[in-house]
Formats: sequence, structure tokens, C-alpha cells
Amino acid sequence: MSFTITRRAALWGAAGAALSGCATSSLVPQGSYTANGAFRVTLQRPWSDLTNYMMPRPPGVRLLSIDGPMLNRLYLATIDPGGSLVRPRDRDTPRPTYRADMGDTEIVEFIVDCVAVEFQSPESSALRPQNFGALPGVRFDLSSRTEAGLDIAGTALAARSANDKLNAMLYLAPREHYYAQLLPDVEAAFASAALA
Amino acid sequence: MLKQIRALAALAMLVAVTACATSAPRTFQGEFQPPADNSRILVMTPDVQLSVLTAAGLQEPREDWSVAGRDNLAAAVATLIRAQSHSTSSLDPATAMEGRVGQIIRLHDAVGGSILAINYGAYSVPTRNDDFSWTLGEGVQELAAAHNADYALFVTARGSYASAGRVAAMVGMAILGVGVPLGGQQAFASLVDLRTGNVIWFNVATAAPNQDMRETEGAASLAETLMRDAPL
Amino acid sequence: MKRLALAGACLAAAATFAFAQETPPAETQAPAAVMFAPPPPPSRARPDSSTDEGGLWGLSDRAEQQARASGQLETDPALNAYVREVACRVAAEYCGDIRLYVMNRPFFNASMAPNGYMEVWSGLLLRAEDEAQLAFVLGHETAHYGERHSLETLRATRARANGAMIASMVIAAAGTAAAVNSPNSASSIADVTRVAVDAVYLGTIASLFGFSRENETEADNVGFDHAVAANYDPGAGHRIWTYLIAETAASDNPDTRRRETRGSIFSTHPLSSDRVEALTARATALGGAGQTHRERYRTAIRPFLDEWLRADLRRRDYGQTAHLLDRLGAHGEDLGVIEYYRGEIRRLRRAEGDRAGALQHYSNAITHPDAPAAAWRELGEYAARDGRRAEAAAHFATYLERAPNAEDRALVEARLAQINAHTGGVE
Repeated sequence: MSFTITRRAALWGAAGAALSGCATSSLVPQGSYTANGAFRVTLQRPWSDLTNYMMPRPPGVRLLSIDGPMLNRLYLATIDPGGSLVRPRDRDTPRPTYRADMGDTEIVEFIVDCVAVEFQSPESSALRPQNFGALPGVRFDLSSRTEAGLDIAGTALAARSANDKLNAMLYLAPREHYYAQLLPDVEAAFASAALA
Repeated sequence: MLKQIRALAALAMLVAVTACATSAPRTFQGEFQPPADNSRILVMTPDVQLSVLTAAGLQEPREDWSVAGRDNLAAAVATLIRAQSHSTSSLDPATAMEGRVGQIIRLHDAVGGSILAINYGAYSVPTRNDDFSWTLGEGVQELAAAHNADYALFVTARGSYASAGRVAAMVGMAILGVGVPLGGQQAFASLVDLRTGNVIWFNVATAAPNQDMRETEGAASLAETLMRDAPL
Repeated sequence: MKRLALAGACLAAAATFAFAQETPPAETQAPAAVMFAPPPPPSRARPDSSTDEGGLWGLSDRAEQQARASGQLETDPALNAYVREVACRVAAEYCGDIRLYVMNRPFFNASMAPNGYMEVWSGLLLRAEDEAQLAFVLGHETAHYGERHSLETLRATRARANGAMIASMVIAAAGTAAAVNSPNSASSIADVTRVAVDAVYLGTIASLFGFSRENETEADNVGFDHAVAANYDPGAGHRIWTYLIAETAASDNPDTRRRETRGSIFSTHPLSSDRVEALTARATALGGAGQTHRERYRTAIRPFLDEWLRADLRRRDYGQTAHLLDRLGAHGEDLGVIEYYRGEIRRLRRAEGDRAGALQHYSNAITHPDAPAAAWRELGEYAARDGRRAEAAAHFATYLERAPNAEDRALVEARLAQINAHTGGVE
């Protein structure tokens, strides 16, 4: 029994180590940035695009960061109905799924449940209507913890577009120092959103 | 599959087996204040995990080694700091995981992990790759106030020591072209300014064969390599 | 999908990045555990740190420290005290050795490490039907501790290891390389890196709880004896194992159904029908003399039902959650919460007939005093979509009345205003 576990862990580790050698990241310059060909935001500073570090990578999700994924993440996502912000390694593992007929509270629930895949007991707060570009959308804040007990704060803006895709931006960072540090940049990005 | 195993074993050889002591310090790139004379430095109880690498390649934790390594490193580092005319105090982070101080300690784990991955590892984050200006933020003042300190030093060590049977196995397997990790030990240190939260200095050192942290002298020598370029 | 994929490695969750602080814990009692009576002194002295058993203790100390600092720790003093009391009752002479932590993890698991550190997961507490079933499982775990099965496993692993040279080299390689190369996690990279980072330690600690079939049978027997000696229902053991087999079979995930090992205690505790049969035979032979303490147990977990069911539903294994709800509802208690979650399954699943089913379950829920306020919001949402505006407005109003501080108040108010603007013209 023990050997099955350790061997599987080792193989995953091996895959991770091998892949992280090839996975590439890139610099996203300050200014206008188009995510997934679906919407545009204005970035107040250069960000790192770490999308390729998500393995396996969920379709339609881009991951930006300044200080690495442990210290800040900005997900820019455009998800088809039936899609998700997270992607389990195997096809059969159930996951939270976006549906075209979701109401605003359901969209919030979908995002929060995706966050729950990695973080502990996330809770949404201050749900409110806020436009995503020209689209009527939903905005909310989020609080959670890492497994190690580091408090994580977050905020997100999401809206369904005319073609039923879900456009979403989700920002997560440790509540201590990091969250507040980039929040103005993130607010500016949210406010600058425009459909591509 | 076999190819993969060999490649990984070889990779492990490169990482784990280094003949001589190495050290790769990084210093904060912005403005910072190195500790003035008579600074109060809080030495966090080192986090040390050592294991024995058996002939069959299993790494078994050795609690006695971990405890000896921890105590030896803590003493050696404190001696070095006091030799620079600073005072030291110690804090076992395991006893301080509550409240905001606990959050600061956890955040240090996250920042230290990011430094290791980005500045020392193969993980590229373009906004950070060439920029050593990491911080925990001003929340560190809580830690300063609670423990009467101006700076905090965090030390972590990981590694394994080969058993006699392991050395024999290596000779045999090497003929087949398979590298067998012989064990190796690394130590990490970070010095945090408890006013600004900035990580003003960080280092990773690989122990030389004569720097056995399970022994007092070996730990002193390793601590010296680790702390050599610290702005103390 | 770290937790979904890795729940099997029982202490996997306790492993953190190589940089985490993990010095041995001070000899203090768990802060969360409030004792009704002072526990007896530990029965075991710390083994010499140079021995293999000393190494296991050191490993357990680190895992315990991580548990204590973990974001998953449930700190409710009453719940911790209650579970600890049950554990103590079946631990017999090892009561004083136990340092118990309730962890919020939506999987059925419990473990007791060689140093006496014990974890009980919320997924187990949600699935035990009564105190006797919890007592049997905890008796089983304390039996592994009493018989030093972890040490036995370590020694057996070591003996086997000579034939496993290549496999363990991969572990060493992955562990070392990953420790240098990988940071912690971005969503789905999390599991890869975090597993690899301390692969060596993690492999060892997971193996501490991977017991042989013989060890499991022995633990079943000792757990049974201790539970019966504490005057618990002798049928509890076979009932909880039987339930778990049935819930696994009810999973939506073919992989879970195929391999019982995932996301359950079976990954470390191989469970077979002969074990269930043996327990059934022993219970039959003894007759049904003991107590189940079902009501007392339900009272203890009732305050957590809503939160734990929410966490269970987040796994999105509707088949398993539905099976669990049937068990929780079997005695006609807590039907407001249970019917609400039956509605939630259907609302989220959106399969054929689920819309009508969801409506029915939410409607049932609100006839019970313990219905969560959200049941009214969902009913309002369905009514609004069907154009039944007056009904929708009434449900939303009730929701806001029952949850005046709801975090989505602004959204619901906006929805209400929208509806009222429409109905204003009609009425």
C-alpha cells in the first residue's frame, strides 16, 4: 500500500520536475492586455504570465502574477459553458462547472468552489452588481486560508457575455501585506475591462 | 521510462552531490539598513530535517540527527552574530503560530519558498527574476514589538547522509551507468529587517563533506559558509 | 484538484513546502482540546531519538505541528472535547497518549500517529451514524497505535526495500530536484509540486499509515473489543464499514467506484468483505447489548451539518453526497438542512428532471424550522425565471428577512427591485 502511494507521488513529482524545466513564462508589458481574445484590460505595470505553470492547464484561463503564485495571482478567464477554472489531472474527477443559465449568486458560488479546490473554506462577501466593461456583472470579495494557515484575501469580477461565455477576473494574495499592495492595480484593471 | 529514471537520477546527482561547499548569497536591491552595532537579532529556531540514505535508497528520517543539527546550527549562528557585536534572542516559531505574528511567520515561509523557486530554482517569473527586493511588509513590526528585536534570522536545513551500505551501492550501480544519489545537505538563511519587512539578505549553502552539522565543529563551519556574506 | 486527487495519502495534506517551519512541538496539550477531566499521563515514554521508532516520533511531531498551525484545524472546543472523550473511552490504557485534532476535510479518515497525535476528519464525523460507530473507528485507530503497527510497517518496508532500489531512487530524485525547482502552486500545479517537495518525508509518513491486511484485521478486533468493553453497540463496526462500501459504490466518479482507494480511509486501510463478515459474526455472537448513543452524537455534530455538507458538495460527487443525505435523513431529523442540500445537488447537477426535483426539495425544506435561508432565495430564483413574479418577490423578501446580514443582500435587493418594477405595472 505504502509503495503504491510513494511511487505515484514520485511519478507526479518526476513529471512536475521535468515539466517545470520546459514550462515557459513571459513578461506582459504595462498597458493594454487582451485576455483569451475575449476582453481587454489596462495593466498599470508589467506582470508575469505564468499560465503555462498550471498543469494541466484549464482552457481559457490565464494566470498573471508579480511575485510568483504563492504571493499574488490574477486569473483572467473566459470559460465556455461546461468549463471550469480548475482542471483535475484525470477526466473523471468531478469539478465545479460553469453553466450558461447561472444566476449571479451561482456564478459567485462557482468561482468560490473552484477556489476551494486549492484553498481552505473560502467565503464570499460583499456581493454587488458591477459592470464588466459594458456587461452587467457581479463583484465580490473573498477570504480563505492556505493549508498551512496563511490567510488569503481575494476579489473577483465576473459577467456572462452575449455568447454565453463567462468572463472573470479573480485576484488572490496573502492578506498580510500582499493583498493590499496590488489591490489598486487590480481595481484599475477591473475598471478598465472592455470586451475585445 | 528507464531513460526518465536515469535522467532524474543524474539530475539528483547534480543537485545533491557537490564535492565542496558552495554558497550563493543575494542581497536586497533597494536601499536598506544593515544592522548597526548592538542590534537585537531574533534567531528563529532552525528548521532542520535530516535523514539517512540507506543502501537500498530509502531516506529514513533520523530524529537524533535533526535535533543535533538544529541545536548545533542555532548555537553556531548565534555565536557568529554575537561576534559581530549584536545581541541575540531565540524564538521557536512553533510556539508563535497564533495571531498576526503567526501570519508573519507563515508569510515568511511563502516568501522564502518563492525566493528559492525563482531566484535559486528553475521557476521563471519575469517580474522577479532579476529583482531581489522581497518583503514581508510592515506587519513585521508586530514581531519586533512582541520579541524586542530589530532583525530576524530564519535558518532551514535539509539533507541526508549516506549509510556505509549506500556508498558501496553507488560504486556498483555507477558501472551500470545509473547515478545513485549519495546524499547531501543544504542550508538556507534569510535576514529580515523588522522595521520594513524587507528580506535584506538571503543565502543557500551546500555543505562540504567536512561540514557535518550533526557535529559541533561541522555545524560551526557550515554556519560560517552560510553567513559569510551576511551584512552583519 | 489536490484534495480530490490526494485525499488518499492521509497525511499528504500535512506536508508543506520545504521552507515551512517544522521544529518539534513543545510538550503541550493541543490548544483546541478542552478536557472535561484531566487525562491520565501518557503510557509511553519518548523513544530514543537514534532509533527508528524515535525517527517516527520526530516525523509525527512535525506533522502534528503542521496540523496545529493548519488552515483546516477545527477549533470548536465543545466538538473537540466530545470527540476526544469518545476516543478516550475506547483507547483504554492509551487515553493519556492522545492529542486529538478535528480537521475540516470532507473525507472519511482518522489516524493516530506513533507519538499519540490523532486526527479525526470532518468527513468521518459527518458519516458516522452514531457515537458507537465513531467509537469503533477511533478504537480501531488507537489499536494501530497500541500495537505499534506503524513501526512494523516501517520495518517491513525497509526489509522489502532492497528489491525496490530503482523506485526509491526516483523518489529521491524527484524530492531533491523538486525542492529546488518548484514553488508552491498555482491552482493545478499545486498538487504536483507539493507532493514532490517533501516526497521523501511524505512517502515515509504516508507509509506509516499503510497497514497490512493482518494489521487491519487485528485493529478491527481490538477496536471491537474496546468499543464493546465501553458498552457500545457491537454492530457499529460492521455497519460503518458496510455504509462506506455502499457510499463508494454510489460515487459519480467511475474511478472512485473502480478503485475504492481514492478519497477514503481505504487507501491506507484495505477493507474487504471478509473483514465486514468477521465483524458481523462477532457482533451476532455477542448479541445487541450495547448503546449507540445516536441522539447524543447527532446533537454534537448538528451545529456543523450545514458547513460540512457544503464542503462535501464542493467535491461535486453528487452520487456520494446524495447517499450521505439519505443516511443523515433516515431518522427524520434536520430535514430543513437535508432537504435544502438535496435541492442543492439538483440545482448544481442540472440533469434531466433536476429542476423539478430541486423545486420540490427546497419547498420541502422550508416547511422545517431548520431550513437555511438560502432555500427561499433559490425558490425565489426559480419563480422569477418562470415568470411567477409575485411569488419570487415574496421568497426573496423572506430570504432577506431571515438573513438580514446576507453577503448577497445587494444582489437580491437589485433582483427584487427589478421584479417589482415589472409587477408594478401588472398589479
